[in-house]
Amino acid sequence: MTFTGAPTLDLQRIGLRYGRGPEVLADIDLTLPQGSFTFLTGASGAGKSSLLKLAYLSLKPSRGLINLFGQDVSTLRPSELQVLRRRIGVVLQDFRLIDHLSVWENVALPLRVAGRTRSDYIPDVNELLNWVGLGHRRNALPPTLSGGEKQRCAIARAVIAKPDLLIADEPTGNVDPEIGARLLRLFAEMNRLGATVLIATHDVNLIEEVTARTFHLQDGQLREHRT
Amino acid sequence: MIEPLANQQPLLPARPEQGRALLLVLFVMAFLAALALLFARGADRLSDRWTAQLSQSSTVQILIPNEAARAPQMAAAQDLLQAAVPRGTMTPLTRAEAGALIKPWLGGGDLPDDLPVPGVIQIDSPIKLPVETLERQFADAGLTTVIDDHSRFSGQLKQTVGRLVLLGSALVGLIGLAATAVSMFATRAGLAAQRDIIHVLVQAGATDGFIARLFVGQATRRGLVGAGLGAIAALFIWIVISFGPGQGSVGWRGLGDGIIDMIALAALSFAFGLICALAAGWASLRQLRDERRRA
Repeated sequence: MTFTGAPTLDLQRIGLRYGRGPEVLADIDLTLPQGSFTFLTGASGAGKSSLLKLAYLSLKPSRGLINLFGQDVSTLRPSELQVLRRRIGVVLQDFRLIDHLSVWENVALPLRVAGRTRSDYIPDVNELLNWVGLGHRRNALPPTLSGGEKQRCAIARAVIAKPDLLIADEPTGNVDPEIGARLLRLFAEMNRLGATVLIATHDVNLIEEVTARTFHLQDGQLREHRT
Repeated sequence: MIEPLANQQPLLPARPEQGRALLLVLFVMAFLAALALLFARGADRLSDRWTAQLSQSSTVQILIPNEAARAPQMAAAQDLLQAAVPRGTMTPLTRAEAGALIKPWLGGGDLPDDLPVPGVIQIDSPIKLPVETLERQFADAGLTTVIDDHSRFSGQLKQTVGRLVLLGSALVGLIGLAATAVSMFATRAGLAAQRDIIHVLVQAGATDGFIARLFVGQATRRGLVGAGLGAIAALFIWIVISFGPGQGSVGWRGLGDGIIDMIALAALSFAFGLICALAAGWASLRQLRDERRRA
């Protein structure tokens, strides 16, 4: 598959260290072309989550350059960074659902933050909740959900605003194979509609389901594997 | 067709225990501020009433050389006063009435017959007494007089009340400062307690302004409710002072006083809410900026 246009994400010679510790990522170069589907693999502690945090602008690199949607993020003002963040959907490993909000409100959160009118997005949220199999749990609070349900809720929240870049950290780790396959179809559908997808996973079956580039992270270094 | 819950849920949790404690603090502060305001306004009104009463009343003392001269000198003084303030009401005091005025300073027993008790004429006049002209006219008529238009006393009263009003205003200001500090502290604590939610909001693209508005909304509601309850409690105390047994002279003397004080209390409650909102907005924006710098 060939891609044209400016890459969605371009990391150049990225280094990352926490405090005064050693570099957990060193000289990382990663380019995600617009509309690409990419897997990121690596052992636990290899730095996958740190790399994803850099990609979704939760961390600043110790060195190197991050270009997102064609913009050097180090030159952007905080308000401009927030506009960029609205174009990114993130599924975190620990879900980060808001406990006092219902499943429905959690999923609708990015639209609410973006200032959309509630009546406009009710059908979208309902449709997506049905798609991820949480329609009957719309008014449940996150603490009452199973791990798999929480994960589906987090995924629905990440994709509801139809992001240009979708980043997921172990998105199918807590769900059964059937739901996992369904969620993967959702990611593939988002990708078909133009979203760039980056998924960090241990799940070999997941990688085999989709034709995608795969990068392996080991000892802070990134290598590409063709699947 | 599935439907969400009818109402949009607040993005920040209510945290009822901390909220109640904070509400109590704001209630007490607003109650004290409202009482200080009511006392300051009451003292100001009282001063105005007394000053108005004093400005309409004056006293002329005629230092009578002997009792034989009392009647003619009193009559002469009365004639001059009548000419100077034709619309005034003269009340000449008898020797016994004038003596009764100085009796408290002389102790028990009757006044000696040969005590030179001055002649006293009390004047109630809608216009100010022309003191200098009268003094000249009395002197020309051979009368030794002392004219007291109470201006010295009313000046001292105004000055004292002015200080009381200033003190009351300073108290309201100090309490406002304390409310600002409390609101800022509560906002910072709220930001720390809701770190996870803020992280999610930031990741969803919420600006600092969006997040600050959540805390501003919470602080404003808390400030308005606390201040409203405090003002109502102070109002209740003031109603007791105004209409209860042994009603105080600083209380309300009419509907007008009550309405103006209630408007002042409503303004105070609004100002409290505004202070809480501004403090929360400032504290949250600053905290978010500092955390971003540290990240």
